[in-house]
Amino acid sequence: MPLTDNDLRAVLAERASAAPGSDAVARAASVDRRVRLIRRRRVASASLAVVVLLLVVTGVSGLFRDSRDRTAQVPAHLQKVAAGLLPRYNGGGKATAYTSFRTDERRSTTFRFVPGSSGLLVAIRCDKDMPESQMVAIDVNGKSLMEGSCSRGLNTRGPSYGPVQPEVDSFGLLYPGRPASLRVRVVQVGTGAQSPDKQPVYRGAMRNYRIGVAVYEPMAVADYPFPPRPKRLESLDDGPGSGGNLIGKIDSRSVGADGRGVVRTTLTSKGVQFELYAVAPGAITMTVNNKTVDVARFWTWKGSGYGSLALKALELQHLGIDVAVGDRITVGVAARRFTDPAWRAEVREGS
Amino acid sequence: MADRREFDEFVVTRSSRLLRTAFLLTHDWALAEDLLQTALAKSWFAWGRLGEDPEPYVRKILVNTYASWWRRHWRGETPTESLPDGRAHGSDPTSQIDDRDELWQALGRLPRRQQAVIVLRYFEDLTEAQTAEALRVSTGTVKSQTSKALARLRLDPDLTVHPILNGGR
Repeated sequence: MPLTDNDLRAVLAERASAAPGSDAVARAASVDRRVRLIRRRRVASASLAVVVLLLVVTGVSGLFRDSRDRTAQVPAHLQKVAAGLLPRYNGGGKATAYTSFRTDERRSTTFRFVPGSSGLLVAIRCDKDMPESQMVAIDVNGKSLMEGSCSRGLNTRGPSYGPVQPEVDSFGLLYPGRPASLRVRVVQVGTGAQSPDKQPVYRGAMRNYRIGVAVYEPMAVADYPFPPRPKRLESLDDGPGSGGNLIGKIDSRSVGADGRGVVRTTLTSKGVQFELYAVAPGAITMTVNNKTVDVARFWTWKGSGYGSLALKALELQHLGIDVAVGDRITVGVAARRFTDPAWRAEVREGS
Repeated sequence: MADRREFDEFVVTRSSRLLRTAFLLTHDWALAEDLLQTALAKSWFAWGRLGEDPEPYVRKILVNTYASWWRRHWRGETPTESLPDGRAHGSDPTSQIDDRDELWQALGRLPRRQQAVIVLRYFEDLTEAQTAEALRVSTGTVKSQTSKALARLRLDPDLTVHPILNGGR
């Protein structure tokens, strides 16, 4: 009996029905905060340049070390921290502050660190799968950053927690050079109306887990220890291709691994955006009229994509590119540190 | 001017189902909540133009935001790739391999666009045309993506010994 529509329907319905209790009123309030944030961002349209600036590598002082971690003489890309639960190098960053704890000893932990930039990545992992009803919440400087489960789905799909995007600045969570505290706590969801970030530390019965958490500081592409190349690369054709109207494509299979290419077009009111996809590590610089507008960095041999913001005339002007709607512009990409022709770029109209 | 009260009411009364859709895409409730709130916030700015039934529009924003998340490295920054797989295949004698669980895991390994097509077609019960409209692609693309997704599932290594694929249980 082949896979049937009913099998798919049953699995999807079954999984969806296991929804934890969610607080729709709290959700409405949270959405309202996001709306206000977006409004502020629109006013501060120069933020794109700030984002790029914030990703410049600066130092960070990790104040906490897990004494059980050992940096044996193993290749950098295989080194682990946080009781072996997390890699030392991850997502273009190096773990600079990390810890781990066992839930039979404690259900929360706090450590302090000094961020060198706002482009931090926070990752967390458990040594085994937690039920989806139990989650881990992270607070930064007393404010909720994010929460998620250490369930199987996250362990196999990752990241357990995504990068701390530069918008943490907008929430006033982190400031480069200023000591910050990061609190990790186990919470139970589905038992009340409160959303996970408001749940107290869970004190009830649960299996014993070891939970590792690490803060990663961004590194320069040239310094990052990429993992060795796999024998066979993923298909470059599996990546995304959605967005606004396609203007042009630039493909490493025709321009070379560290090649470059340009597309000429007329700037519309929707602006332009880049959609990149790579199945190898390296960096791609995006330019408009030969000026850098963004840089995408790829850190693994797993296929991953990057979509730039839609760059409209106003944003381009803030980046020092004197253009207006109706002008002819030259949009380009330039790749570096790729060892294989394993990336492709699409230039699209803003969506 | 959009009606804030109507919007809040929509969030309170209608967002739970959308949360389930978001979960089927992300496979994680926390990410699903984040995805949903992101989509709702984006929808607010078009609220005044959405008419009587805004849900299809919000769903459209949701699935397309999901694709954008992917492009923003949600997949690329994986801290676990070189670590031992925590799954219980053979390592935990008490565990039972559940065929539906395997299918769920296999769904999570599909490319994002194919996942979205499957969720919209088989959970939301959208037609091919509605799915195409939500994903801003042609109906031909929906057909081909559905076909590719099903083919991938049938070829998924974890499902090749799957009872569903091999004569049932």
